[in-house]
Amino acid sequence: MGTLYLQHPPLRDTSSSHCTEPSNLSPGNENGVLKILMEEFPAHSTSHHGETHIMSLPLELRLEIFSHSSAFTLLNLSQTSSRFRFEINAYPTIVRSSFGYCQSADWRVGISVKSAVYPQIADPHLSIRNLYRLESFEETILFRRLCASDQGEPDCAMGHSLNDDCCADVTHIFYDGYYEVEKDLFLGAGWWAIDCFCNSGGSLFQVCDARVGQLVFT
Amino acid sequence: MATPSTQATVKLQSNDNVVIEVERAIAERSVLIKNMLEDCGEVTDAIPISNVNESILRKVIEWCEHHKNDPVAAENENDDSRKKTTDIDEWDQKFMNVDQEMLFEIILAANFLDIKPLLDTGCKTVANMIKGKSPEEIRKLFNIQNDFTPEEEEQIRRENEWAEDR
Repeated sequence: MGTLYLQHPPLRDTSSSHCTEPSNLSPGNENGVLKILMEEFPAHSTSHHGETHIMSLPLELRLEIFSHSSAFTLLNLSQTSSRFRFEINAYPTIVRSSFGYCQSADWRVGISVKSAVYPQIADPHLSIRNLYRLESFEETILFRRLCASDQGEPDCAMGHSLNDDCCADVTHIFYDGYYEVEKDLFLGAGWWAIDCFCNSGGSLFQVCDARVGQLVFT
Repeated sequence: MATPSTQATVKLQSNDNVVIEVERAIAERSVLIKNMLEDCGEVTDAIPISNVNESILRKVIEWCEHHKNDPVAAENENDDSRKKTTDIDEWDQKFMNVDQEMLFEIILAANFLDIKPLLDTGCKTVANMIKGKSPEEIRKLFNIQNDFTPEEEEQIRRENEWAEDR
């Protein structure tokens, strides 16, 4: 028998199985995304050193990698470069199926939070408001490192869980960990609830706590 | 279709012209090779694997040898649940403990040879490398240049401003 030649099989088109839904996260037409990508971001065959690099993988394989990542990981990855930002936001069905993603950024609207908390976003992208759960302890640590400007009391952050209902009365959380509650509620004695205690015993409600405890609002 | 072959081994030729003889059952972890062998029957010549060099081919064969008795997943089987976890078994974690260039070459080879479980393992490994890292740490990890304009940086900051300063 003569020599056999293997033809390169078509790359697995992961985009087709993931990206069929319309989304408010994307330009809206995922079929046209590849064309845009090729125009905006010419292909890189290798890195600066001539080695195989994550950007030299075919887009389909990067999408495979994205599909194994949590929403928080995708968010961080999307903030590394314009290409990653574009690719991740261009395939919202991957983002939507990622761990910890929530469709609505306005999960607290129902409890009369001030509108100023959520500035308008002209061009919707995956943002921190699309996260409702962190995947692991290391993500929690990273979230606190990136998003909480005041570390506050270290024992507080892990004091809340999805099953705690103590956070439902919190209406507003600030960067430094202080929070507002409704007047006359047991959580605090007034508009400001500095150092007050919630049911789970935390004395300073940190940003991370709110994130982890978000399900109580939905 | 050709008559089913009973040959025990096949020869694979890397793109740097090294011929490696492997058990047919091991080579058939590659759906590409399996389909070709089914179509062609007896194959005596070395099968050129044009996109894969010797070192990567040997790594891929090593993985296939270790996993030769694994059940083969049905086509499109539970695609979602396959993606939902980044768990990697201990042997595979050690196998994937290589430099970045080799890791990406393994992923490319797994895709070329159509070895889905190896492709999954490679992609999960990269996903795990990214997990728990800040944007700046990811840039350093993969040597990614921050090409955001100041305006884009500001937009990202605003988008991710979910609580306000007092």
